[in-house]
Amino acid sequence: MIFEYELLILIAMIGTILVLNLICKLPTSIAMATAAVVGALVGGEGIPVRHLFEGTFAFLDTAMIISTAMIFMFAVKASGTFEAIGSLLVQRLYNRPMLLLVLMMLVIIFPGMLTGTASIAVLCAGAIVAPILEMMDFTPVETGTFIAVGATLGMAAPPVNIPAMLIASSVDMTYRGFTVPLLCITMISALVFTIHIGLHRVKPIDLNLAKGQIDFEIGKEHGFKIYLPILLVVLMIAAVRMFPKYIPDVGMPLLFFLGAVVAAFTGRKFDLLNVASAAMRENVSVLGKIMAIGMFLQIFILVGVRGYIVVNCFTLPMTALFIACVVLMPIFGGISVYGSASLFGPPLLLAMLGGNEIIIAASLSVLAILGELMPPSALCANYAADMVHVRYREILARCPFPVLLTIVICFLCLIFSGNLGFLVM
Amino acid sequence: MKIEVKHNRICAGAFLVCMALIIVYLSGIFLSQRVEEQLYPSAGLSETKMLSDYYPDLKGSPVDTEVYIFRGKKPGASMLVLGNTHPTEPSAIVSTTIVLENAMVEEGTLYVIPRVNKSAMSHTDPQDATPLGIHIDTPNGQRYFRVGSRMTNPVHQWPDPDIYYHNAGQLLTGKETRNVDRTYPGRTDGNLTEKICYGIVELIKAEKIDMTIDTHEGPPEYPTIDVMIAHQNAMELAGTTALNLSLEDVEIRVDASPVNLHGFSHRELGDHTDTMAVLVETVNPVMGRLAGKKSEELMLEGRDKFYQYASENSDRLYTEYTAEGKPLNLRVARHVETIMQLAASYNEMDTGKRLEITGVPTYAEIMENGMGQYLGGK
Repeated sequence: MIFEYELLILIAMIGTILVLNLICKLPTSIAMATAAVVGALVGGEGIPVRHLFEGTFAFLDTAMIISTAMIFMFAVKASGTFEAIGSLLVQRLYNRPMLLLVLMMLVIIFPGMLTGTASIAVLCAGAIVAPILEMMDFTPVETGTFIAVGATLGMAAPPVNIPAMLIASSVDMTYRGFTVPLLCITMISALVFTIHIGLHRVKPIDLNLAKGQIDFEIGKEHGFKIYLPILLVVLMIAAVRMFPKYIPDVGMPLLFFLGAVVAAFTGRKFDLLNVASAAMRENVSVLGKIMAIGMFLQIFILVGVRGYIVVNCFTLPMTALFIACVVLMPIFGGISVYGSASLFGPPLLLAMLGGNEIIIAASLSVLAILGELMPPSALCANYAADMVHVRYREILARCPFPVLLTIVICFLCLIFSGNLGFLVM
Repeated sequence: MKIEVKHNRICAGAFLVCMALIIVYLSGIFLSQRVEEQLYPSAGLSETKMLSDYYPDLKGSPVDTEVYIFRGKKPGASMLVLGNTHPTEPSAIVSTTIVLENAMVEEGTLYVIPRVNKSAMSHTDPQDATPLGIHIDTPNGQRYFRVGSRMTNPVHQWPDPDIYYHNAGQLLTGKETRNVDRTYPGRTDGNLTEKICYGIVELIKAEKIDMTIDTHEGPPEYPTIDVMIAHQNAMELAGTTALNLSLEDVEIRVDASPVNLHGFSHRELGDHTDTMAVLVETVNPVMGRLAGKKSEELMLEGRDKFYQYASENSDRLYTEYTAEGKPLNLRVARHVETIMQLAASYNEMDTGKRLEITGVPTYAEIMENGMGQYLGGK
């Protein structure tokens, strides 16, 4: 079913993005919003203002989390917490670079494991890790790649993998038994990538040089209380996840905001209002992108392009279906990870029933999450690029190895899901 | 070529004025979803209560809902019919309305809640892209039924937690905390959606309801379609009903409610009350991920080239999808006949009680005359 009118709509929508973004140099958000309008026009829907507006609300909660996380990270940075953590790690492990590098990877993965959000992992851990990596002789692009890949794998790692939850709940599966499969996929990928980027390459840190770049006094000056904002947020997030029956979930936006307020009193003094304004100015382009993705997907569904794509996957033979999974999900994850998981995850999972459905759902969720490293949105790569002050395309150019590595692991899991049932506990 | 927008007050002012006008226009559209459609209960109606009469905490809330009660001349068995648990499923909406507007009870008591989640009817979900409602021609003019969301309106219940922890220890995505059919048996200290469920459980306990039917629809690629899912205490009832339905040319499967899958009406109502809980499902292409253009026509006629193609070229759909599609009329006829056959099958069981309902059209009548013939009006 290749040649249908919906193919023309799809070409018009993708073409609009490419022309406006690459040739006219308009922001991705404007290009995607315009593509949504073009899709609706070509699809015979006129300008469906209701759908365009409704689509922007698809990721409202995500936008709030990212905004408050950004304020929190700016506040923590202003208070000097990152410098304190960086100096502590460097003082202890400066002469064991490979161990420090593996530890850095875990530091980046950890916030994503708890929050299920790669962007927050970049914001939370990236600022701690980036200066240390650069002292270990990483270039800014390598540093950004390391952070982006770690944060993306953290988003996929258990206990919280939101795309896996989305896929599971769409087919009435409970989110149980995913821990070991997700850990295996993400940790193998993280370890191999870390060794690949660091082995024979990473250098011990010169403590004397580091003293010029890191303020080793800030930790001593403010003592343990300088770590309180991060500890508060991490512990509250972990407590809600681990004891959901007893601890009410007040929502990550409120937690991050509380963390920012605490940061104003635990380290260097700063004006919270100014810091919050600066954070929101930094954030506005990502918010625009998220709104535009929602708009784009709504029209995508309204005019039947989603149906066209899914039916073509659905009618493929099994071998081609596996290939479709590993190609389609990351590519559409580049438009929206949640969109890719919820659009393609459930039908692909249903089409592959017969293997172990938890292994399949876990693999599909990781494939969708790889969209964090795929254009046009590449949210995680964008944030990492901002952090190390390079262009995000430079980071994307370094991502094929970890992306392909993870795809291969997921591909094997999909093929041998029936034999991997022992991982489900 | 690089397009640039001037950063000046005129551009900013023009942008703000445009946005204000769009917001005013859209507010009208979105607020219209809160206007309730008129229902016309049959002459057999004995009493209308509110769910808050059974669980007072719901009084004055946006989810308090009407419970229509039809008492027979003689006491007997009782049945509760639930519609609009998920307002994205129009055959459930229309079939419960047809029962409400035609039923005459001779023996026993019939309870109908046509709008289980009123809050979910008051909005639509981003990424569903569904039409706002459907129009059905009737002898008394055109009737309009809203099509809402599966979930409680976030204006009424927000924010969602990241993970929904069900009381039975089950983890689901956070948004399921607004899904009535994931939050049974509900809790008094829970959120608004859980309170709806608690209210229904209280109603079933207070009225000693013998059987509860929850009406639903699902997409063609979903295994749970054209099926009755029954709690273990309702398996005999469901099995007899399936047999009786097959005599009326309605093929329906019976699945046992999974013991470890919590939050669903078929599991929790059976576990926490003495009712025989059955959930019935038909097929709705609009809900599916293979659906083509989302339109009112697709919702009413159920013809979809993509589903037809998938049916002809793969074995991955759980129903045969032909060029005739799955029209709403067929889906409503199936639901109405299933509800009536459940009542009839109950009478074949050795319980010492009976439920006699008359006036409700049969499957054959709806298929022949159209569902609109059985919808009331002024």
